Amino acid sequence: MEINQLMRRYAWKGVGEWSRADQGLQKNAHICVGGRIAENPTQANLALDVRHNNDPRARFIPMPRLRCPSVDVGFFFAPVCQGNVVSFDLVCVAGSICFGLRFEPPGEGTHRYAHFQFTSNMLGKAHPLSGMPPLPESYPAFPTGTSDTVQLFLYLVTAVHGYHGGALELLGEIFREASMTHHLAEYTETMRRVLGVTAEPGHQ
Amino acid sequence: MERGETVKILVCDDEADRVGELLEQLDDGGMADQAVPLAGSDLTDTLTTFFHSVKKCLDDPANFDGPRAVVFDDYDIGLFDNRLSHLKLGGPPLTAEAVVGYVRAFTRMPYTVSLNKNPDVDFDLRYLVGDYETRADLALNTEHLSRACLWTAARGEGADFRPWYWPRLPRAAERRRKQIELVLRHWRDPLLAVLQLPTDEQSLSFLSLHPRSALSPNVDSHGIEDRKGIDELRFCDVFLAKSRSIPTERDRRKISDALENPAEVSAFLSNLAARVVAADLDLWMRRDIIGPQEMLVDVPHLLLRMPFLLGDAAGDIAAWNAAVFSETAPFGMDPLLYEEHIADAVYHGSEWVESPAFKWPDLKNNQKLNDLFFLQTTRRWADVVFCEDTSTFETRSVGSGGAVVREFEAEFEGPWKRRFVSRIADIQYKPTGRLAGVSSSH
Repeated sequence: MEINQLMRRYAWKGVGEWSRADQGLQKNAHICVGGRIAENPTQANLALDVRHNNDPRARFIPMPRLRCPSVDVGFFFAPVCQGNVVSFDLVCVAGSICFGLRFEPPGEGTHRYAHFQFTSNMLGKAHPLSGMPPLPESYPAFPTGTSDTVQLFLYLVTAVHGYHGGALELLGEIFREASMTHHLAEYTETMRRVLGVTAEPGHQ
Repeated sequence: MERGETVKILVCDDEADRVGELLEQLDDGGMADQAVPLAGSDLTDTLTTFFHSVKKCLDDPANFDGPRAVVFDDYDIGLFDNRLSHLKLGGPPLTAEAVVGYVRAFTRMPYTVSLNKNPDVDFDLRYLVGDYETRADLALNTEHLSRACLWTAARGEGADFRPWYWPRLPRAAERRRKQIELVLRHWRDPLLAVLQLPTDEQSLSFLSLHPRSALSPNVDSHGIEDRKGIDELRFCDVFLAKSRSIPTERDRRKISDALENPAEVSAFLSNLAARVVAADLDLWMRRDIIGPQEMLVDVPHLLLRMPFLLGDAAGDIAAWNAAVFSETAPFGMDPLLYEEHIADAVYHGSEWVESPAFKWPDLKNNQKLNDLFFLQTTRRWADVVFCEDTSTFETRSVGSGGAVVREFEAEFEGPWKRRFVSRIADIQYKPTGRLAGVSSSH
C-alpha cells in the first residue's frame, strides 16, 4: 500500500469517527481551526491532494481515536512543499484550547534540518489557530532526522496513538479493512526500525 | 450438471408463455423437473380463493378457524414474476410484491422469490443482500434461475457469477422451516439469546445503529426509560413492528391481540405469526449481521482479517479458495490454530446462516490471536481479495479472466464496508456510484 493510500484510509477512518463525535466537541474544534474540517471522505481525499496551504480545498482531516487522555480530537494536514517532500501539520484540541505542531523537512535559514515545532499558522497565515495558548513558534525546533514521508507519517501517528495498543493496532485495522494484510509488514518493519522498538507484543 | 436437492417449486406468472421462459431457465439450472407452473386463469382462480381466506382471517382473526387448502401449501419454493398485471382479478395491476407477503403469512410455503422486480440489477452493491425492500425472501431476475449455485453446491470454474450473498434455495427453504419451529417455541423469549448471538454489553457494542434498531422502533441502546434494549427484544415484539408480510398495523394488531390468549389462540394464527417473524429475522441476519460482518464473520472474511489461520498454506491462493465452501471444521484452517483459538467462537445458530460463521467479538478480544497477527511475517500471506460477486479469492490486481478486481464501499455503518468484485462482463452492478472514487490499486 503506497503511503498516499495509507494516509487516505487513515483519513477515512478519522472522518468516520468524527461524524459520530459529540456535538460540543465538534463545535470547539470548529472554532479552533476556523471551520475548515474535512467532514467526509471526499473532502479528505481532496485535502490530501492539495499542494499548498492556500489551496481552497485545504482542510484539516480528523484523526482516529487518540490515546492522549486530555486531548479530545486531533487533526492533520499534509501539504507538499519543496518539490515532493511532504510536511505534516498536527492540531490537537482539548476543550476550547488547541495547539499546532508542524513536522517539516529541512528549510532555509537556521532550520536547515528536518524538525517539528509549535505553530499557530496553518492553512496559510490568514487562518491562524484560535485558542492556542502563547507558545514559542520557531524554537524549540526538535530534530526528527528524516524528510521521508513514510517515516514522518509514522512518527505522527505514533506520537498521538502510541505504539503498542495504538498505532500498531490502528495500522492493523486499516490493512485488514482494506483486505491488504499482505502489505502490513512494509510499515510495521519500518515503524520498528525508526522508533527503535525492542520488545514486541507477546514477547513481554 | 449436478442435480439439485429434491425440492418442489411453484412457478407463478400471469402469462403462460412467460412461464415457459422461466421453466427454460430452471432447466438450464437443472431444476425444471421439480418445477410446476401456475399461470393465467389458474393463478387468478387460486389467488381469488386465497385472498378471500386472507380477508376472512383479517376481519376476525380470533375466531378464524383456518384457511381452505391452497396450492401454495404443497410447495417449498414459490417463484412469482413481479409482472402480474394481466391477471383478471379486478382492481389495480397486481405485482408479486403485493402477493408474497400474504403467501408467507397465510400458507405453509416456506420460501418465496420475487422475479424481475429490478431487471437492470444483478448485483447489489449497497447491502450485499439483493433487493432489501422486496417483500419476498429473495429478489432475482429470470436469467439468474439458470445459475446452478442457486440450486446445488456446484462451483463452476473461474469467474462465474455467483454472489456470496445468494442462498442455496433448497437449503434456504429447509432452514426456514427450522426457523419457524424455533420462533414458535420461543415466541415470548428474548430473541438474541435464542438466535445464539452474544448478549453481553461488549459484544453488543460491535453492532452498528442500524442492526440495533431495524427489528423494532422501540429498541433503544441509550438506556431511555420504557424502551427495550435489543437484548430484551422478543419475537412477539418483532411481529407488531415489521410490515413486510402484513402491511397494515391495524391487521397486525388484531392478530397480535388474538395471540395474547395462548389458551384460545388457534394453531393457525400461531404459525402465521411465527412464519412472519422468521422471515423478518432471516432478512435481518442477512442484511444486518452477516452483511456487515461485525458481530458474526464468515470464513472468507475471517481469513482476510487473520490470514495466518491458514498456517503454512497462507501463501497459496488455492488454499484460500478451498476454505470458502468448507462446511466442516477446521474449515480449511490450520487444525491446531483452529482448535486453540477459533473453535470456541463458532456460531451455532445454523438455521440462520448460509455458511459457517464465528463470533467476531470473541476473536477480536483474543489477545493471543492478535499477538499472532503481528508476530507473523505478513509478506508470506497471499495478496488476495475476496470477490463478493464470484465467491472466490482473487489476486488483488487481476481477477479470473484478466479483469481488474474493483473495490467498492457497501452502505454498512461499520468498518468492514470495503469489499471487492470481479466486475464480470454483462453483469449489472448497482448502484454504480458505490464503485466510484475507490481505487482498486494498492
